[in-house]
Amino acid sequence: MSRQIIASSRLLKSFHVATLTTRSYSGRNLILSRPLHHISSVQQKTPKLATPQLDEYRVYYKQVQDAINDVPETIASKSTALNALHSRLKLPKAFPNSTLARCLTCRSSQLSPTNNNSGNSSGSAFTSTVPSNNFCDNHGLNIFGKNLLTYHVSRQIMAQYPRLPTVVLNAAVDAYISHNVLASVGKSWGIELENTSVLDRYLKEEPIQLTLGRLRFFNNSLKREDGVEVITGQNFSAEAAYALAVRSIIGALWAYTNETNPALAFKFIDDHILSRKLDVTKIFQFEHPTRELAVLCRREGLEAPVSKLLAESGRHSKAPVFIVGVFSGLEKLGEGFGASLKEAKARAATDALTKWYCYEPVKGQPSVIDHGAVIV
Amino acid sequence: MPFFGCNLGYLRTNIGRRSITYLHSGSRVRGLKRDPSEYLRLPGGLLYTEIEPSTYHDTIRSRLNLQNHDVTLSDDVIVQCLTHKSFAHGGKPYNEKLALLGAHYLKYLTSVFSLKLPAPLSPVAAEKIQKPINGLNFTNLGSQGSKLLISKNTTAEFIRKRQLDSFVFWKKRDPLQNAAYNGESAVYASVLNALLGGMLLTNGAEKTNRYIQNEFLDSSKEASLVRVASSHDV
Repeated sequence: MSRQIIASSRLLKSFHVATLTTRSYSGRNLILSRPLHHISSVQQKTPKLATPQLDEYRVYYKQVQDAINDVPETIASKSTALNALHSRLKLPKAFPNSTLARCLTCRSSQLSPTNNNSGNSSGSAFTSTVPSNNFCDNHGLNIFGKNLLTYHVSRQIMAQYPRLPTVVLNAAVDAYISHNVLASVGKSWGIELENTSVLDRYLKEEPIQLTLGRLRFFNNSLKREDGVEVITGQNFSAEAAYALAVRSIIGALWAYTNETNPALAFKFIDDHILSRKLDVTKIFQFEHPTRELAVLCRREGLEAPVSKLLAESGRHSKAPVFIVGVFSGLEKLGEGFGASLKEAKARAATDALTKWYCYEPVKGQPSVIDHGAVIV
Repeated sequence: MPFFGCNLGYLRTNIGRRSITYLHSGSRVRGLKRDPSEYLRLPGGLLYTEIEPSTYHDTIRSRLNLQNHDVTLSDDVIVQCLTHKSFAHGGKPYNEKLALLGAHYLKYLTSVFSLKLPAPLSPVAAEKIQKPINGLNFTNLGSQGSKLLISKNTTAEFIRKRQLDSFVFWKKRDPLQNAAYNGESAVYASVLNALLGGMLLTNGAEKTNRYIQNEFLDSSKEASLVRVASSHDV
């Protein structure tokens, strides 16, 4: 402990790691572009920093960087977090830990040189991530995972509810795979964020493999700095990073199993994404239900819908209840109640429309090709 | 009493209702119903209600080479795939949802196609090259070439090259304006996607996959997505 304190105080002195930022309100972009752990380029280039502790730190930093740039399986296999995640998700043996570590490296974990004022001193703006190359990040895996997820989830929802209007279908797909939802899936999988700075990890003598099991994305410790506000786009948020990791794991699973067991990736999606309960009836909102029902009946060649009062109670009281049924010929399409006849009629039409759009074919029935939602 | 009953029966049988509807032709008048033979007709003269299987459905099947790949599409599905939502104000079965499914499936299959290509689809900066996984080239995903394969312009051009554009039922936003203003490419792209969506639902993933590989992603064919995309890339 005392060794850590002494070492950290020396490093802090020599490194000027503590935030020396002077507040500047000249523009929003300035906050992003300026390195927060401010070291002027002149200070960085001076050789006076060569101390034994600093050399050790340099070696540690380089090791972390090398490990993230091209994750060696020998190091990744020692990571407890990766091993735990691997077995928790029941991934096949063909899926190596090094790829799992790659799924946790987001491209946003390195700032582009244009965002870094310090020029050659890349890394000065980072505390918990190291600048790495794109060779081993999850960019491509995320794109493929997203394509795979969108296709499979859309198809499954369309098979279950073939008559859903497109807007509702898209909302249902989003309810399964929007980045907020995927972020919560990622959290439930036990993926942790890399919140500790490289310096702290060095001082704690933390083994390199531990960082491989954590989610690395845009310099995520900045928000915790006192008095510093970071303006980040949606893609740089922790939620987006979790979603990227989940999509990448699905994409990588397909890559390893498409030849041996092509259905495994789809089963994985069924088990982890589509297993969540979604009530599609809650997504609907009809603006003109009676008119829409009339157009629907005309298009489908049914008799025009007629609303009939089925029961009522307390018409002249302060709390009347009317029950209205909507009929097409002798067929009852829907039923609704309300405190007025108008309300009950609208609810009956809404009920009829919901039943039409949320129709579920029975198993073994050939695919239903919907004619499209009614346009009023 | 029998006399009364007889009279009532007589009265009932003679009650009838007649309704007359005026169908308006010519310039639009707000509130008047339009004559279907007018709004269901394409500018080229093709009438939606009078399409003949020999001149319409069979022609489409042959231009898409459906029979060569043992793909069967019913007449109704073909017409629905070639009908855009804008036609007849959505009063006829239209292709929106089939197009949605088909677009997702095509995107998935083209990304697999891009992954399996060892060479880059379009030039990529050295620092953006990604480590392959299990022999799959992840650098191609998100590249310009990969995006072009399924872009609106490419898929629309495919429909034009297969000479299916004159069969598409759609309504222009403004007939006096150009194709870009009317969103012609988006409409044609939706037709191609809908055909794939319809195929996927009725013929299954295996047949549709084979069809796409042989017809759309085979660079030896003149009217394939790969060839069209490469011509756009240049």
